Amino acid sequence: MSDAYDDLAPVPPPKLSGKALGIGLAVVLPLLALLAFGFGRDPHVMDKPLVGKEAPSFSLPRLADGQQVQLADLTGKPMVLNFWATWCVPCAQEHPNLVEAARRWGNDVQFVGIVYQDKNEAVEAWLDRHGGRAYPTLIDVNAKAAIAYGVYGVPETYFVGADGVIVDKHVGPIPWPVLQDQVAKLRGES
Amino acid sequence: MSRLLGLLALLLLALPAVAQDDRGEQGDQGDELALGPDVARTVGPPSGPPLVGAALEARTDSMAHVMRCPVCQGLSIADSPSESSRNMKRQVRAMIAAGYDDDQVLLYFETAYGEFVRMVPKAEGFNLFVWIFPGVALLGGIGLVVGTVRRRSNPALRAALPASARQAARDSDGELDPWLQQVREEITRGT
Repeated sequence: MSDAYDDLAPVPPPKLSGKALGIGLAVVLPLLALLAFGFGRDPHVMDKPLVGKEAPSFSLPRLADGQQVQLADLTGKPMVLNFWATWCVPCAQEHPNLVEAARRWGNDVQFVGIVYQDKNEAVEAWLDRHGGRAYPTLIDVNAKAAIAYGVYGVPETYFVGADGVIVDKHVGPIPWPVLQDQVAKLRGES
Repeated sequence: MSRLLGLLALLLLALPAVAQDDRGEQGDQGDELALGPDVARTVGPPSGPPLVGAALEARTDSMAHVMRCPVCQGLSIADSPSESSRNMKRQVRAMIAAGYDDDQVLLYFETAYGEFVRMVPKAEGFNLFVWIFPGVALLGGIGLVVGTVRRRSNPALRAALPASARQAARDSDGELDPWLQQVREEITRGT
């Protein structure tokens, strides 16, 4: 009788074997690393695959007279291409910066506004209201240029060197110091 | 009444889409199938025959399901009602109509938007982990379960089990448990 009960002596709590620990860590650590990698990235930071590549060409009607303007017509000096729209609130915030920059450095740098998903009459009214015809405005019909440039949303501003290569891209309303800095780079000042 | 409320809810849901329809300077009908800038420079000449009609729409729809809408949360351009998605889908249709194949269409958009535009990431580099790990984890789990069951059911392998597992195996196996055997004998004897 006692022999039978001897077999039921309390079983010590299981010890964690080195092998089990090793397997557990081998499974859990890569998952933790993956999570750290995923959560460590700002989901709002978008890829800029076109930076360092030649700016996609375009042929778009000019708001002022409907004439087709090609990228090739504008090259020869550095460019600031600003994609914007009248329905975009941050575009109104950054607009005075672009107008002021075009006024200061327009002789050295070509500023171009490309209107995204908008109506011509709305653009005319908006420009009247915000006092900005400091540089040409082009209409991106069916957003073909925006797609070629990989525009996620407006405003987005591309900085193109005199050689036609995209130097950088700014997503969102561009603050004056950033614009100043980017234009200085385009003009070879820094 | 509930049907009326349902209709009202549908109408309210549709309003943003109706409003968005009015946004954007659209080209004339001829522009519908006009290619975007630099298509040939980016992806080369079309590698297939031009498509029209139902075949064009079917291919466009199938491509639109594997491309991510840039302004949405995890929606394909086929599922998104946004104007951006509609413009992208229009460009996809134009490329397929001109004879560009699926890889060329994806390459054109990937050149501008990066790999983000693919709903299904390419199985290369770091992405391989995402493709391989679930399979490896599943196989490992199956192996673990099969191995444990085999060890518990095979007396020769049972010695390899930890003490707690041996105890559990004994508890579940009346033939080998002398205490249980004794209880059964006592019950049989009626004592």
